[in-house]
Amino acid sequence: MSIQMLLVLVALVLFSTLMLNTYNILLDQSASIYDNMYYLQGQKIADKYFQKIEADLLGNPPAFYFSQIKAYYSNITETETVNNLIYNINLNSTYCDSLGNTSGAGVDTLYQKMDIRINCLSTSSDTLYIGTKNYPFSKIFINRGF
Amino acid sequence: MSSILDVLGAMITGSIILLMMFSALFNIQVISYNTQLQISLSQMSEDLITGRKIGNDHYLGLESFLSRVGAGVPDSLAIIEATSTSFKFLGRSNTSSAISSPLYVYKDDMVNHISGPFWLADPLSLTYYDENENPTLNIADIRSIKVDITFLYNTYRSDIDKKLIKHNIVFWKYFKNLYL
Repeated sequence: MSIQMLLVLVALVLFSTLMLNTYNILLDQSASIYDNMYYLQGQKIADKYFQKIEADLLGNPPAFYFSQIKAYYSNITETETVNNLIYNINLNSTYCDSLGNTSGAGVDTLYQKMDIRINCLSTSSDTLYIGTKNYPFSKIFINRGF
Repeated sequence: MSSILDVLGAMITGSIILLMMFSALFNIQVISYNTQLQISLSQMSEDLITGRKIGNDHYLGLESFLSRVGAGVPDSLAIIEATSTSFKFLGRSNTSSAISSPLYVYKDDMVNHISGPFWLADPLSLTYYDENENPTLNIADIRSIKVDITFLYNTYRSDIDKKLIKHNIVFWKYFKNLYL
């Protein structure tokens, strides 16, 4: 084998390595973009539940009284399928003070904090967490006596 | 003679590799371009749904308009039409904007658009629910809506890669004015 053929083979090996690396970066990039879309959809799902609870508290009589919200949304799990992707949703409500602290002397039945955690399958087949135990989507509801 | 054959062989193999390189570089450019389009489409779709802020001005999204269903009007008059592809309602608004406006993209000002109009794409699916979360088409029972909307865009090479870039958004809106 001549030196020319050897150099061509070396070039082929180097080029292949470079290409594999480049494609890998591109795939990572597109996975990141799709995961970001799942995040945005997850936020809309969380918003749906916040809206639902607010709406349920309205009306005369309301669909749910304030204390019933606390009792019903006590660490419950639901699922929502959007675009063939299953989102697992965990909702948990706890009484809190006006600043959202769930422990301490200020905790009152006038306020409750709703935490929502969501997870789904990411494009890379890992679990994608949209709102975690330490950093959930949260909203504080106040008992306005509706 | 042997060395000439070697040189010819190396030249042919080298040419094939060069072709592979150019083809790969072109593919990378196409993928990058499509990725950029996907990002732009996602940004525009989100702006249209949730609203956008340019400078100190807020521009409302579809969600905000839907919040006004039944505001300041009797419940019986709030919803005019509710089908799987169209929704007409009455509600008090403090702007004169029309919901059916096409989406334009502006940069730095709201006078000269840099791209658009972008029209809402098929499929659009509207589902209505009563207060017990059951699907309904009875206007008097409607209390919330689920909007399933997909935005589409052609890829760089529509002749060889007909897969469209798309962004599917599903959002829900509870008509709180109808609960009061």
